[in-house]
Amino acid sequence: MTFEPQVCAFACNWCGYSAADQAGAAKLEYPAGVKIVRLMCTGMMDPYYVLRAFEREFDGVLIIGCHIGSCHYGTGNVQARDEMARVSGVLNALGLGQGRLLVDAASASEGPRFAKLANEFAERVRKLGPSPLREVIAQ
Amino acid sequence: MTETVSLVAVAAPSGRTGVDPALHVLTAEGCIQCNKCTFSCPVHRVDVLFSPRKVILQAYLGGADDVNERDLWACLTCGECQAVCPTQVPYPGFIRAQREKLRPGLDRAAPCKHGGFKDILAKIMAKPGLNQDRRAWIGDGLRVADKGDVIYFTGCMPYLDGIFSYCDSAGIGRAAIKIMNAAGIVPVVANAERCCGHDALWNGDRTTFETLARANARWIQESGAKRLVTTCAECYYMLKHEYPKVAGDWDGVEVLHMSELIEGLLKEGRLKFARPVDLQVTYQDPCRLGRHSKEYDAPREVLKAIPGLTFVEMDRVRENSMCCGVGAYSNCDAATKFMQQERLEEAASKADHMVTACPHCRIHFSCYLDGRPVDPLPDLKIVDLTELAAQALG
Repeated sequence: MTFEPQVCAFACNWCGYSAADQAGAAKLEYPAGVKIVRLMCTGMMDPYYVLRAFEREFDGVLIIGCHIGSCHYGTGNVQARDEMARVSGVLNALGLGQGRLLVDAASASEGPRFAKLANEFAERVRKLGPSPLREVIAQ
Repeated sequence: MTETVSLVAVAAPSGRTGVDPALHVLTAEGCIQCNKCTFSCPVHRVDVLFSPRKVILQAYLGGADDVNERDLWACLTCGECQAVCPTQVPYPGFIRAQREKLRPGLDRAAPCKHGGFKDILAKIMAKPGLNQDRRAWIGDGLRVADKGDVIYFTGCMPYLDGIFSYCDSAGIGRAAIKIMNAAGIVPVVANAERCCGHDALWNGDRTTFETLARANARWIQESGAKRLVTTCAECYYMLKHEYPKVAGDWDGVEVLHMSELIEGLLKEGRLKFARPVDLQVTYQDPCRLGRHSKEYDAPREVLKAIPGLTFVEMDRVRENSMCCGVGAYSNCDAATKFMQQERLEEAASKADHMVTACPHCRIHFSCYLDGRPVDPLPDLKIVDLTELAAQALG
């Protein structure tokens, strides 16, 4: 069985999720392992969510919000970026570093950009291999 | 003991034994309903409906499992009630047993933001495939080893800076290594180490705690070390008092809090405080080191040994010390903030620095000071005992 990376993607309601919607409507392909969780704003991203995703045996976490300056609530995406920068230290210490977490942006009309981000991130995680926290490692 | 059991059995309504099995095991049937627990409880002062006495009474009447969720999680397990209790009813132990029992039926684990973080961190560390890199925070100029007689158990400290940006928690670790190096000890800091499981146990997650305890006990015993040092009051309490219950043969390793190690090194003459630290300080007893482990003197001895330091006691100290407001990251609310304000004002009236011996006390108090309260406090700084001792080394 080939390793199919499982990616937990947190997308904000206003940009990231709309972009994913558009990617779907335009029939753009991205890996089936990318599972999307909709948030009102990436500013509500808590370190807890990221760790919870890894605990639930996801191989990577992708956070997609609005572009800097166009957050629906003003500065939620900046908060998310700063908070996640700190969490990356925690992930490094846990042996989950090396880019298993990515914070990026796609505006509501950028369906192709969402598909591109999802594809590229899934490819990166595929190269990193399964998360060490997985109980049964699929080979 | 049999006498007290029969007394309660007589007092209970007919047809029921009146003694809850959980209480029975914990010998809490000695409650005389004097209400000292409730009046000493720091939570009760804000939330008057919260009463340990009422919960114990309810448990007597066979309703231990009907303890409401608010009462179950509002308890800080700080142990103040047990300290003042004339019959030593182990209320924190009872709450812990009930959390263990009732948690599977609740939809939320711990009703507090950072509680979720600590909870999930413990669960991740209980995974078998975990491959940690725990030494990134150490930095240059400090010596640590892979093998040796002394283990420095860091616990969750390397992870705290990722969340609590207002506290340099890793600074405590660097100070501890600096002190040990100065005394000629090169401590072991192992990547195999895992969370001590304190929060998991006190929040009712025994499975995770036991997995962590066994994993830790295994590598510690395989390492062949004689002594284990920790800078955290919670780790100290767990390793010393809870691990022997699940990890079996644990006698070979002596568990020391950093303050005990420093006290010993000073007595042996292996460590000398050369540089005066010109500060006025007061000391906050962490509940896990004080009331739960009965270690009140070592930290005070260390403070008294630092030259230039003026040490002033607060009014409520030792057994009567106030809690920092949060126990096992399971509760943070209005009561917490009230307690912290009261305690910090008390400290500020005595000194300009408050010393603690637990990184979590420091985090909780610093959180209050960082949160820009409505009524700003005088210039009070929270420092860890280990950091202060490292300053005195010069």
